[in-house]
This record gives sequence, C-alpha cells and structure tokens, in this order.
Amino acid sequence: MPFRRLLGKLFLWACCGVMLQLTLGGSLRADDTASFLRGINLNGPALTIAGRDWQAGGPDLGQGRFEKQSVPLIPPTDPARSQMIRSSVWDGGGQNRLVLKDLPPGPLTVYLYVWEDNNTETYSVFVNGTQVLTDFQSGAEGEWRRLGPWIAEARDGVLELSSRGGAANWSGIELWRGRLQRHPDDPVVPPRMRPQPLTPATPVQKHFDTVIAPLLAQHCIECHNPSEKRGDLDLTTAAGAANVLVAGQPADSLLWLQVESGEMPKKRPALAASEQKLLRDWITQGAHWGSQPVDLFAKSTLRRAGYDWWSLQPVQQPQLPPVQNQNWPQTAADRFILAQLETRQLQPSPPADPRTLIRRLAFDLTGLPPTSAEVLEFTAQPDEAAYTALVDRYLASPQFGEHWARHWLDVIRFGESQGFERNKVRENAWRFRDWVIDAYNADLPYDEFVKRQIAGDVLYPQDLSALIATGYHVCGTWDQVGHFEGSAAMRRVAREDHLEDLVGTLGQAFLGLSVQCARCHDHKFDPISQREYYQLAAALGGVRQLVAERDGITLAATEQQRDFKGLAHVIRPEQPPLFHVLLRGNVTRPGDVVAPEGLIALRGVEQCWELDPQAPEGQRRQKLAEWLTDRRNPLTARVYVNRVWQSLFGTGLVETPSEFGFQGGQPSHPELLDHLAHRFMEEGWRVKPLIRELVSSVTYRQQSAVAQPAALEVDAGARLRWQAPLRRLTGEEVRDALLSVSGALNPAQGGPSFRDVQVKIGSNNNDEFTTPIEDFTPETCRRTIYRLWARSGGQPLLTNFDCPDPSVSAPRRMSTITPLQALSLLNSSFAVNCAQRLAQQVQQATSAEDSPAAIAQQVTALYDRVLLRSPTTAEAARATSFVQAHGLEQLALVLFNTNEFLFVR
Amino acid sequence: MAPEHTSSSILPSRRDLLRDAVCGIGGIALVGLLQRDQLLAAPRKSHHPARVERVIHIFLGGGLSQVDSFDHKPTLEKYHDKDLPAEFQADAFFGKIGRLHQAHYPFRPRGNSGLVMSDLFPELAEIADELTVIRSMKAETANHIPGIFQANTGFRQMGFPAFGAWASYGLGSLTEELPSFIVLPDARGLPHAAGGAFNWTNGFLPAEHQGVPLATRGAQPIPDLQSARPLTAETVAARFELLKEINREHAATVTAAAADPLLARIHSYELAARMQTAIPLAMDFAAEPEHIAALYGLERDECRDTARNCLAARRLIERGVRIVQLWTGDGVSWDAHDNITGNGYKSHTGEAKRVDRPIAGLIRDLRQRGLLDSTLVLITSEFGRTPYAQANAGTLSKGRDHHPEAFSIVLAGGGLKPGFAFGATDELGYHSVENIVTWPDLHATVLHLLGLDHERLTVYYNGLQRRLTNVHGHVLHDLLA
Repeated sequence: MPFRRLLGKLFLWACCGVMLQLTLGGSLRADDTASFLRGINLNGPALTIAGRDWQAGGPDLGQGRFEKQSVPLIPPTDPARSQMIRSSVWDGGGQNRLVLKDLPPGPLTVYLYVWEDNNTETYSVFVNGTQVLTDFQSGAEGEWRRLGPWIAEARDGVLELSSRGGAANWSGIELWRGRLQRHPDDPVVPPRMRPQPLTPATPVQKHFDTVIAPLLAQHCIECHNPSEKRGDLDLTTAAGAANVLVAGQPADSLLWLQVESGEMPKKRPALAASEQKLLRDWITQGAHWGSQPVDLFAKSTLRRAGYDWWSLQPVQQPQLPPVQNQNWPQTAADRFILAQLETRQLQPSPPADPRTLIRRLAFDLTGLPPTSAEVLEFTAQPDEAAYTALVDRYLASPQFGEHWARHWLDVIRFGESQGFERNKVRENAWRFRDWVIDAYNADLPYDEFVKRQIAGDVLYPQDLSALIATGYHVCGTWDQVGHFEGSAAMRRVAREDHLEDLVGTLGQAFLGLSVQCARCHDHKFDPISQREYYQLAAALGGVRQLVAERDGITLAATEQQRDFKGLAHVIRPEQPPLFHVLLRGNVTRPGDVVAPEGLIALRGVEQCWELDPQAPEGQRRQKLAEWLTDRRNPLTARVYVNRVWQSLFGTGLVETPSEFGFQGGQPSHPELLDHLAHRFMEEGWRVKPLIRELVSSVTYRQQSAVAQPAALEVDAGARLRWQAPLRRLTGEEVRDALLSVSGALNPAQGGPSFRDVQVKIGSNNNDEFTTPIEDFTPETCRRTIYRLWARSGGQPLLTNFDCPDPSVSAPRRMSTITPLQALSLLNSSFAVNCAQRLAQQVQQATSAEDSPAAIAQQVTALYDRVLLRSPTTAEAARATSFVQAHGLEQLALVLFNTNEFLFVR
Repeated sequence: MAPEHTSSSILPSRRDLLRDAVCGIGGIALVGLLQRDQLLAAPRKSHHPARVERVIHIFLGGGLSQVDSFDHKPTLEKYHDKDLPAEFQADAFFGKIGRLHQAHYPFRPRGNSGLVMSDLFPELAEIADELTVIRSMKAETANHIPGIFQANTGFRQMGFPAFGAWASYGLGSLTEELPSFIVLPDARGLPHAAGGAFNWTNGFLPAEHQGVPLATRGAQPIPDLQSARPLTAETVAARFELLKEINREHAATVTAAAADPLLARIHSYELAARMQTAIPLAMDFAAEPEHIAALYGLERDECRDTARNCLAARRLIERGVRIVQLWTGDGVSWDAHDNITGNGYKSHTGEAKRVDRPIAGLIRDLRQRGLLDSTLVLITSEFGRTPYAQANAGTLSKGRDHHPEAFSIVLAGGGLKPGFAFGATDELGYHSVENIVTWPDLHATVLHLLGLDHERLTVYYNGLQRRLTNVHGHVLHDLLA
C-alpha cells in the first residue's frame, strides 16, 4: 500500500476523533436545568429507580430478550436498578436498533444501560446514525455500565439508537432534557486535600503534634493505620488508640507494655531509651492527643519519605556558586561541578585529546562512530569553532533521533509484540517508533512530547502524528488470553495486572515514582496512598489494548478530501467503568469510588483535576497530560534532565533515573539538577539546546581513566565528575558500529521493522521467534533501532550485549562482560559478514595483492577504519604477519573484539 | 530527608564498585579479579550451610492432574459421575463444568514408605522411597503463561529473573567453563507456547546469569560456539593470542582502577576458548556405557528424547553447572483438556511415557553416583487439573480443565524427607486445605536448600529492592530432613 494511502487512512480516524470530540464536547457545557425526561426498562415492568419513575419497555421492540436475576452485578447497585439491568433485550445478528418517538425539540442527554451475562462482547453504539462509542467491550459476567452521556437532538420527535458488532445486552434507556454533565446518581467524591500546616491550638496538642506524632509515625503507623489496621488497631487517631491507652497509667496501657517488652515494633529496631521515655511520659501526663490525626506521610523518617522529601519540593532557581578557578568553567554546569570539587579539594582532569573527544561525541549524540575523514578533519584543527560545528552537525543529523529515541523506548518498554501466550507481532507499532525518532530530530519540546503521548488524540484531534504518539499507551505487554479467554475472575485479574503495568510505567517514566507499589496498600516508602493509585488508574482506565489494530474506520473526510488508508498501533480508548479502591488489591473487594486525580505529594501543582468519577475518557488523559507538564510539577523536568545527563555522563546526577522516591538515590549535585530543570522549562523544554550546553561543558570534555589517586580515594565512581566515564558500547552501538566501519550500514530511515530472527506461527495462534536470520542484505543492514523489537524475540549478539527484552522498563542499561559476548562477536555470521565486507572494501581501496607491502597497506587501512588511527610500527608488523597466515578478514574480526573498539573513553 | 543518605554515602569506594560489579552490575570475569584482590571467594558464600549445591528442574508444563498422579481421592470414586456440589462455585477456565471424574489410573502404596502414587508413572513409583511429594500446592492463576512465569520467576508478569538466574546470582558458578544455568528444551523445540525465554531470563540480573538453552542435537549446542565460517585450530588460537596482546597493550594505557573492566574482558575471551571445548565434551555421550544408557531409556523410541536430556543434565551438573532446567514438549503438552488417557500430544498417558523412565533413571543414576544428596531434583507443573470433567453440565468426558486451587509437585534429593507426602487437599482434590504451599514458599525453600535466605537475596532495580519471592514466601521446614 503506498505510504500516502496509509497516511490517509490514519487521517480518517483522526476525523473520527474530531467528531466524537465535538459530540462529547457539547456535553461539557453543563446545564443545571437539565431534567429527567424518560426511563425505559426495556425488558421488564414499570418501576421506580432512585425516585424516578421508569416505564415498561413494551412489546414493540421485536428483539431477543432474557432475564438472569441471579447474577451478582459488578459493581453492586440498588435493587430496582439491579432488576432493570438483569433483564435485557438483544439481537442475535448483532444489530440492536431502537426508535424513540414523541420527543421534545432541543438538546437531549442519552444514557444506555448495558450488561454482560456471560462472555465479553465487542460492539459499537450509534445515536441517530453517528457512532458515539467504538468497539466497546462488555466485560466479564455481571459487569454493567451506564453508557453515555451523549448529547443529541431528536429529528421530528424521533431518536434512533443502535449498536453493531457482538451481541449487546440492552437493559434500559434514560433520557434527560438538556445537557446533563454529571448524572445525579453518581457518587460525589470530595478530593482529598493536602494536609494543612499544623496550627496547634494548645501547648499539649503542640507537644503531641511535634514530638509524639513523629514517634508514632516512625515506629507504629506503618502497620497500625486505617487501611492496614494490623491487630485491628489504628493508632492515627485518639479513638482508634483508645483500647491500648489508659491515660495516666502506662502500666495499664497495652501500647506501652508492648513497647517496653520489646514485643513491638515487630521485625524492627526497638525504640531508643529516650524515645521510650517520651512515650511513657506522654501517657503518664494524660495521653493527650494532638490537633489532627497522625499522618504517616507528613514527614520523612529513617524508613520512608514524607511530603517533605527533596524531589517533591518545587524546582528552585539556584544561584551560580562561586569558584576559585575562574578560568576553568565554560558553562553554568561547569560552575556547579567545579564548586563541589573545590570544596573537597579535588581537581578536574585535563581535556581529552581530539580523537578521543570526537569519538565520544559521535557515539553519545548519534550512537555511531565518526568516520575517518571526520576524525582527520577535527584532529587537524581541534578548536572551539570546529567543536561547536561538530556538535551542531551531529545534533542536526537524522542519526541523532535514531540514537536518542532508543533511550526513551527503553524507559517506556516499547515492544513490537504483545507478549504472553499469544505473543503476536504488532505489525504497525513501528509508526510510534518513527514518531519518537522524528520528535527528537525535530526537537519537539519535551512537554509537548509528553502531552502527545498521553493525550495526543484528544488535544490535537486533527493531527495524525498526535494520534500516532498515543502508541505510548499500547506499546507494553498485553495478556490476550487473560483478557478474553478464561473465566470472569481471571479476566478481572488480568485487567488489574495490566493497569498496574500502565500506572507503573507512567509513574516511573515521567515522575520517577513507583506509584504501582500502592496497588494493594499505601506505598511502603513514599507518600502515595492506595487511593491515589486508583485515581491514576482511573485516568488511564480507558486505555485498552486491542487484539486487532486500529483499522479501517471509514468516515467521510470532512476537513480534507483525501481517501488514504493506513494502519497504526494506537490507542482506541473507551469510556472506563467506575473506579473503586480495591481493598488489598483484591478485585472482589471494591471500596470507595474514586475520580481521576493526581498525587497530593507533588508540591506546587494542583492534585485535584475537578473531574467526576464518570468524566469522559478523553478529559481524563487531557488533565493527566496537563498535570504532568505543568511548570509547577516538581518531578517531570527533574526526572527528564537527569535522564539526559545520564545518557551523556554514564550515570545520572540521581543514580536511579526512574526512582526519585525514598528507594532512589540522592542527587550528587542537587543545585545543578534544579538549575538544569529550571532552565529546561524556562527555555521551552527543548532537548537539543540542553544537550548542546552539556556537551559544550569542560566537564564533558575531560579525559577518562585518569590517574588521580586523591580523587579515586574519596570518589571512585567519579560522581563528582572529576573525570569522564569509560563506558562499553551498548548492544545497538556494537552492531551499528560494525555495520558502519565495514561500510555495510544502510542509512535508510523509518518504515516497517526488519527482522533478524525468524518469525513462525506457533501451534497456539502465537508468533514464535526462532533462529536468527543470517541474511546480510541492505534490509538487515539497517540500524538496530529499526529491527523488530518483539518480546522474547532477542537476537543472541544483542542479548549478550545487554539489550533488554522490552517487557519491563530499562531506565539504565547494564554493562556486563561474559564469554558469550566473546563468542557472538568472534563467531556469529553477522560479525563474520561484517569482517568480510570490510576486508573486501579495504582491499578494493588499497590493493588485493598479498605482497608484504600490500598487506601492510591493508593493515593500515583496516586500523584506520576500525580504530580511527594508524597502527604503530610494532602493531603493523605483528598484524601483517597475522594477515599473511590467517587473512585480512580475521584481522578485522580481531579488531572488532578489541577493547579499544568496544569502549568509549 | 533521610539522614542515612549523607552526601558522602553517594560516593562509593573502589571496593564498593568492585563488589557492585559482581553482585549487581558486572560480570563473571570480574570474579577472577576480585579473587586477585582478595575481595571475594568463588564460588560465592552462601547465607547458611547449603543442603544441596545444584538443582535439576524438570518442567511438565500444561497442568499435571493431581487426582490422576500423586493425590489419591477415594471419595472421587464414590462421587464419580455426580455433579460437583454447588458450594464449590467452580470457576472453570473454559467454563464447562462436567461431572466429577474418578482417577484415570489406579493408585497404590509404594515402596517401604507406602507413598501413594498412581500407575501413571510406573518407573517413578518404583523409587517412591526417594521422592518427596507436596500435595497442597496452590497457584494464583488458571492461565498457562502467567502460571508458568510464576512457577519459574515468582511473578505472573513477564520479564522477571528466573529462579535459576537468582540461584546463579546468589551462589556464583562452580565452573568457569560452562554457563551456570543451562536449559534443555526437548526435541519438539524451544517451549515457545509456554513463553519461551522468559522462563529462564536473567531479567534485571546481570546477563551471565541467564539460562543458556543447549541443543542436545544438531551442529552447535549454543549459537556461535564455533565460527560461522570454518576455521583451522591454528587460526582460532592465533586470533585469541593476537587479541590478548592488543588488549593488554591497550589496558596498559589506562590507570589500574580503570583497567578492571578491560582486564575482565580479556579474561572472558579465555573463558570463551575453554567453553568451546567444554560444551561439546559435556554433550558427547559416547563414553557412557550401555547399562547407563539403558537406565535412562536411551534405547527406547518412546522416551529417547527426554532420556538424552536427563543424561545431559547429569553430565552438566557433574561438570559444575548449578541449575539445569529440562523442558518436556512445547511447554504446555500436559494440557489434557480432551483426553487424559490418550496417547498423543496433550494427553497424560502419552506424555508420561516420554518422561517416566528417563526421570526415574536420572534419580537412580544420581543416587548410585552419590550425587543425589547434593542435588535437588524438582518436578513441577504450573497448576493442576479439575476433579470434574471438562464437559457439558451433567455429562462426563476424559478431559479435565485448568485448576490452580490444588496440585501436586515432586521433589527428590538432599535435605528432604524421602518417601514423604506434605500437605493435603479436600476430599475431592479441589482445594488445598492443609499446609497450603504457594510458589513463593517453594522458591524460598529451594533457595534455602541452596544455602540462600530468600529475604536477603536481593538486587536493587528501578527503585525497588527486588526478591525472587517479592514480599512473600516461607521456607517449608516440615519438608526438610
């Protein structure tokens, strides 16, 4: 299919998005005067639901009908509504249609009650012929939904409702006159507010709030809180603690007895003597409680982070620190680095030599080695202007995006097959990969980069690329069997597991917080409640993976008259069900209803999104995107600039790039981190200028592997940046560099992924990734980012060089050394083919003769291509005699395996 | 801010870095350097005295029926062809709840211990006194792949390190010539239907701990063991020699501290050279006498395939491999939905014939060589099968559906009570009711036998101190001798 046609098809969906948006957009304008018009119990008697009178459906619907009043509903609801839901009409041919008559003019709000009595069905819903819901999945046995609200107007008093696809069980219809924003039966959930600063009323309360509460928080509240309540004890309030405290009588207070005997806290160090005394005295003096409940999250302790944790505070704009050696720094970053070195009386290292520097820069910015010609040019005149020109050239090259996209795809565990039992290839996931590459090359500001991935389809409904960006949501694993086959209970577990993966990836990729740890209980280490986990889950609750990819929704293209068609693996959202907190994470124990909302702990940015628990799906992701990229969000910019720093300096300023909570590392240079984050946002979240500034620093341009015994003594990891890191190439860099130096690299950009492992249809309707493909063709000689990144589809050379399987996020590559690497790089057909190609090219460029002089020429050329330098006299002599005995190809293989080639200095 | 994170603690010493390189991010070859620096002994120190040094895990994927193999339920005979009582609220994977079906094979007490087993595995029954059975396993899912992932990695999701990788990570290797964790797929190929390489992945542990699949037939046991283009022995040796010289000269240009990874790479090529000889030697059965081949059933058509793998497993552990995982079928071949007693794929009778003699032969051989006391043989499935038939309501069939509520697994080897059954199910074999054992419990116990404390064997990854057993797991002390 021609690419233009592909694009066109995508465009049509974008239009579909527009139409939906316009329709739903109407409903956003609330009309408080909306009034109940009509309720129809489609397969049952007239009845009263929530004080509103419903009419019986009547016999004229002409469809199949059934009733199963014994099925427990999910979620449970009131008896009358349950009775209405559990009797329904359906059409065996999958074409429900219903005409409502005698309706008044003006806007109407329409709701449709549907439910599932056995296996999930997929269908679309239409109002007056307009598709208002696409491929809705009816869920497991007992699940019900009130679909809508849809705003529509009757034509000549008539409104038509229909559905197409699988068998839809329609239970009831509810019509309201006017535009109803929030259904009055929906629970109102007040947003949880960040605790206000303490305002102690009395000295006694103040003593508790400032002395006793922190003690309880540190030693007791972890287990004895309202959600955990071990031993049926809640020590956060006076009422909860009443049973274990006798005012004035420590000897009669179980709390004291257990602490004194060392019984409590369990599995933890006992309270220090001074702490025990404080506790005892407090009880003796009457055990007076404070001004508010003890909040586990209020303050950081030795065991966990509180709301005062460093990374949760607003980004500051720090002053540039003073330094003694005014001549050394070239950039602001250099000032921060030097200031710390000077404090510790350490020296930075001298600048790297030009050949080392250009090789480092080329790999860091493009993932490829420089060419011999580039090296020659730069080493001839290695001045500041030449370096700046080099930086600009690499940043402007398409290879920049190809390399930097890989870093991001690692973080969001982008994979081109769905994993699990039906591990099928996603043939069109590559469009998202190309979008990421293009975004880096076009220097799309990072806030836009985030927004489009989260809600591109909602924010830019007419922008095809923004729709492709939502491939972010559907690039993870998907347990097809768990979601569609198997029993109802299994399907619910699979759905919750999937949500955990979505929430976890979101939290760690953008915020550096392991929000997923709060699925079953409040977070053990960070101030994130279980409730907040489900609030974020509700924001992503409309994200559903598909068996089939989004395809062929053919609508009239209204904006542009093009009739192109195409396929992409992108989001196809649906209105999520009501979200509850699940007690202990158990799907059979729903608790409070929650609305989509952010995290309280992020200081400065508003956690409440003012959304309803049943807010339209698109609004949820739009709010989420806005919240993530709010300039006041303390984490988004910090986390990202730290990732960029890690990509250039080996380790981040925070060593744990996806974890800025208690379990993460502390920043080595907190002010520098804030300086970079602040400036990044200030200058429009642009990545290329940030990289340009960092690689222009003298810090970046230092030597590596320097003899500085004093520095080594105090900081062996060089986290104070007194030298540059020595790093091994990544798997992709190894493979791409082999292709590059051997002249085999096909620079073609973008498009469908090439395969370097055979894909075979398995017995289980799955794709199996079997033996490596050994073809050495232009197609397989493209850059590694263009290979099919299927789950479980690893290729030995890459796997051995620590390319992770894309099932879990890989925020930092490992760098191991194993004999299997040696075997791959010496023996694989890929390495052998590269060596052969290189040998042929060298012989063509020099001479194919086997006279000692000709071989010496070949050796020199080979060193030049692979190691970017000429051999020494001794090296040349040794290599020449090796080639005479074993051939030029074998010398090429040996050089591929040298540390000089495999490490960047 | 947590006071323990002082500004100086963010700066590791070289000693810290080297330890991290071994324990966290680094590689096998660094072990040699650390020995040189006297920072570490190889093999690594266990947490407590080990009962066994190595594990052979035989995976019978697809779901072995407990009520037809190791869990005798006389009540099922009584209620054969009756409906499952309503209070069980069956949640069948494929939704077909037929009538209760009695065992498809007769059960009898075996050996001196009187361990009750069915005739499904007649050869294993003969060595019942060597076996330890857990009858009260309980899994979290009735879905094959998450279930198989959990059996092997502790997690239902994909991408977590396999327990073999954890053991390798915790204990290090006993040999430098072979990978420490080896996987033996059966002749039907890698178990793709069971999630393939995810079951032996190193996940977020260093790559040296990955399970390495060895082909027990075919040209190369592992990819790239020999050059893609045939080379003379002289060329192979000359390449290693030249490479070593170039790398040594290069390492001399950097400081001692920076040279560690460079020297480690040099060492890794020496190991690669040795591996090229050691692997083919381990897989060459020519030297095995006829009576040993017969013990494994190597001469029998119906079980030759598993026999080869069982024999290979013994030869590999003799040479210092820590963990051997042996797959049967495509990873789900015990999935007998239609016919337990059929003879082909996804039957029990047919699959048992492929594995019974070889597994019994392996255990006998380990015993006679004195290796069984220091080896753990683990025979597991990912879940069990329903005590009722997979059939329309009110009818019978010869098939059974997936069943996570109760199933049996078998262990043999050092540190265990032999001829012993642990835990129990209810009268129908539907629910585990006594001493319920979860996968984390079993994993904790396997690590315990290897001398490792599952709560202390951790790795920091992506914000969490990760464990094989996540936040669960209790060692089954009642199982231990």
